[in-house]
Amino acid sequence: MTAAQNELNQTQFSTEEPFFEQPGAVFQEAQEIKQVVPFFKRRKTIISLIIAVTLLLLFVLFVINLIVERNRRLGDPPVITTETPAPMSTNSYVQEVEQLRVEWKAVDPSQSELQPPSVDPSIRLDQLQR
Amino acid sequence: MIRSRTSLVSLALLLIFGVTISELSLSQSTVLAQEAGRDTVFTAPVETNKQQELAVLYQSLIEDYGTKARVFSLNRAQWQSLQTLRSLEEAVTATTAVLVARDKTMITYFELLLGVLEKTPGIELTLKQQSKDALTARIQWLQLHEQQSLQSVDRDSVNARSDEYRQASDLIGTEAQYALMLVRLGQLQTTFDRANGLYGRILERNKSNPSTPTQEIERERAYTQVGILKDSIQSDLTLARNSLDPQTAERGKIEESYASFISRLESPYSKTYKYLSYLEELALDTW
Repeated sequence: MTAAQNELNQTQFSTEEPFFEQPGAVFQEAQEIKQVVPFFKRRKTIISLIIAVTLLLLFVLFVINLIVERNRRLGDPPVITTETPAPMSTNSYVQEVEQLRVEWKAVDPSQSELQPPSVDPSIRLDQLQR
Repeated sequence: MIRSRTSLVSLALLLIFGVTISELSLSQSTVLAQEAGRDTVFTAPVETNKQQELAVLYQSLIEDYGTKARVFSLNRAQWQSLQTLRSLEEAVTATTAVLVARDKTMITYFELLLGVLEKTPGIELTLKQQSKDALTARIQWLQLHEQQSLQSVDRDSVNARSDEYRQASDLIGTEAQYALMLVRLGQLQTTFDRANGLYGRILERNKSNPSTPTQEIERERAYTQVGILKDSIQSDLTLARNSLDPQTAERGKIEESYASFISRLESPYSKTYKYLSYLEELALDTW
C-alpha cells in the first residue's frame, strides 16, 4: 500500500469513524424487541380466567340448587295450601275424619297430664300427738 | 381500549352471577316461606305464652320442692336425735322453706289448671264457673298461707302452718280432681260434637246427591246404626256430666273419685272411635 493510498484511507476512515465509534447504537435498536409480559398480566389470560371461574361458580350453584330442590321435594311433608276450600269432596271428609282421630287420641281420658303434684300434705316439724 | 373491553366482559359476567345468586336465594326464600307457613298451620301453640311460662315454672318448682323436702327430712331427723337449740333452729328453717316451696308449687299448679279449664270447650258453663271460682279461691288461700309460712320462724308457728295445710289438703285434692274431671269430659265432648258436625255435613251431601233406590235403602240402614251409636255416646257423656253436677248426681253427691270418673269415660271414648270409623265409611260413600 502506498503513502497516497494510506492518506486516502485515512480520509475515508475519518468520514467513517463515527460509525465505528458508536457500535452500540445498532444494538440499542435491536433491544426494542417486546418486553416479556408475565403470565397473569396477559389480557386474554385474565379474561379466560374470569370466564372459567364464573362458569365454575355457576355450575356449583346450579348443582346446589338441584340438590336443594330435590331434598325439598322428597323430604318435606306436603305443604298445606291456603286456598279457600271448595265444596267439600269425599276426600276432604275423610281428611276431616283423620283429623278427628288425631284429636281423639289427644283426649284420651286415661292420660296422666295435669295430675296434681305428689307433695306431702303431712309435713310437720313435730309429730302429731295421737 | 383493551381495559374497557375487559371491564365490560367482567361486568357482564358479574351481572350473570348476580342474577343467578338472586334466583337461587329466591327459590330458597320461597321454600322457607312455605316452611314458615306450614309451621303456623301444624305447630301453632295451643297454649298461650303465659301457660307455657307457668309450665316451665311449675317444673322448676317441683324440683325445688323435692330438694327442700330432702333437707327438711334430714334436719328434722337431726333435731329429733340431737335435741339441741342449733338443730332446732335449722329444723325450723328447713320446715319453713319446704312449706313455702309446697305452697308455691300448688299455686302454680292451680294457675295452670285454671288456664286449661278456661280454654277447654265442651264444658257446661255453670259447672265450669263453679270450678273456676273454687280454683281461684284456693289460689288465694295458698298465697295467704305462703305469706304466713314465710313469717313463721318458731317451732309452734311452723307446726300451726303445717296443720292448716294438712286439714285443707283433702279439699285441695278434691278441687283439683274436679277441675281435671271437667277438663277430660269437655275434651271428649268437644271431639264428639265435632264428629256430629261432620256427620251432619255428610248427610247433607248425600241428600243433595241421591243415588239408586237400593243404595238409598242401604244408606238409611247405615244411618240407623250410626244414630244408635251416636245416641249411646251422648247418653254416656250425659251420665258422666250428671255425676259432676250436685243437682243431678246420685243422692246429690258428686263424683269425687277421679279414677272412677275416668272409668265412666272409657266407654264413650272407645265408642267415639267406632263412630269415627263409621263416619269414614260414610265419607267414602261406598253405600
